[in-house]
Amino acid sequence: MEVIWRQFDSLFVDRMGHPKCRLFVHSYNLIFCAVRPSRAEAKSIMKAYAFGRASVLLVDDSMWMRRILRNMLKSLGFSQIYEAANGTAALATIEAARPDVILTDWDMHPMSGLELTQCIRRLPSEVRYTPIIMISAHGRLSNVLAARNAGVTEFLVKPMSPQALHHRLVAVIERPRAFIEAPEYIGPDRRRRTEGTDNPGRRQSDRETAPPSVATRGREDRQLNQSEISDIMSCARTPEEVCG
Amino acid sequence: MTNTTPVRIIMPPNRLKQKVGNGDPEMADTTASEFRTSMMKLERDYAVHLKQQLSELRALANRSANNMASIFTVAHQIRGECPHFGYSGVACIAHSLCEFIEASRQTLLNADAVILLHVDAMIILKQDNDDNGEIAASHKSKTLHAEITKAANHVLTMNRTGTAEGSVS
Repeated sequence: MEVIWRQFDSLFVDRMGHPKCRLFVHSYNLIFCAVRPSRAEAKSIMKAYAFGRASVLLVDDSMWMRRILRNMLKSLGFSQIYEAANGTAALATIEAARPDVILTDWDMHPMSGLELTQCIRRLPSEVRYTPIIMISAHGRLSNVLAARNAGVTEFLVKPMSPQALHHRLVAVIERPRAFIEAPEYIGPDRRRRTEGTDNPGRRQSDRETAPPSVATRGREDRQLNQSEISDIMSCARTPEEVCG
Repeated sequence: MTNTTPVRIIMPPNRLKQKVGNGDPEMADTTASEFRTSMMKLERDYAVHLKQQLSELRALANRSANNMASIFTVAHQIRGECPHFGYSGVACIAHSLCEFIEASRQTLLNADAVILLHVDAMIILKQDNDDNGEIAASHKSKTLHAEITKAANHVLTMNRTGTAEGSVS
């Protein structure tokens, strides 16, 4: 805390170790004033998320990719990490362990990451709401739209970094989206926050559950960077705004 | 026919938030170095694994016409895993191979030559990486990648326009 007081036309300042508050003394009256801490001050007082209390399920048919992701999650603080080498094993683990977040690969056999997502979203229990982060090197617009239309919450393009994974986890934690259960789609809300359900301005891609080739009709199906992917997944920008 | 199933909009409980609480949106400074240290312990084993994958890829590339899906699977795995173990040059060529196969969509004339070119480049870059380090291999990969891209574009254009004259060697 920083204490400032004026006495006989002199200004006195005292630091008491709390950067969030400042105490003003004026004419023998105390005034407490909360002020925004600087970025450095905020960094020093904010604690990290307690990822150690949460559980995560990794689904990837590559043992090496599971190792990479396990190390990444451990360095972020996760300790309850479950693994599955395919979609069928993942479904069994989800029912038994009820993970708080699922990280899944796209390319897997016999059940792909997209099929796994659709299966999870159709489960009768509340585990269908579990956030799913798709991790894939398939970073084209058609891939991102296909993942979003399957019910994926966030999309992380390979090669990923601990920083990028942390950002996606923060997005899941701090910006949760409503869950839509419709005949054609079950998953996180794909509309912008300002739009209602009856809004005629709903994006064409939201109504498209068709194959990716149809979903990208009229747009350039190019490789997207992580920032563009995140904007599309979080509905901050439309595919048209990203790809023209 | 109209589907009469109602649309439900639910705000499910944020279980992850409830468990992890409030935190710094920026990652802790130590996380990246902890991750790098943990990956360094796996590098030796991964080098052996990559060598096996490249041998497998070389065998598949010799009969590429029948093995396009398998070649794509292995190359796709390599491009995802390699950068985490310091083989960014190999990953770059693996990515180029995946893009070439995706662009092909059908059996192309001279596609096997382009695939072999990619695989041989990956084998050379892996060896260079092990002998001279990632930075040296990364520089070499840029030159190789530029030449391979030329060859790949040549084959794709040649097949699109139907001009089958000329070959890639």
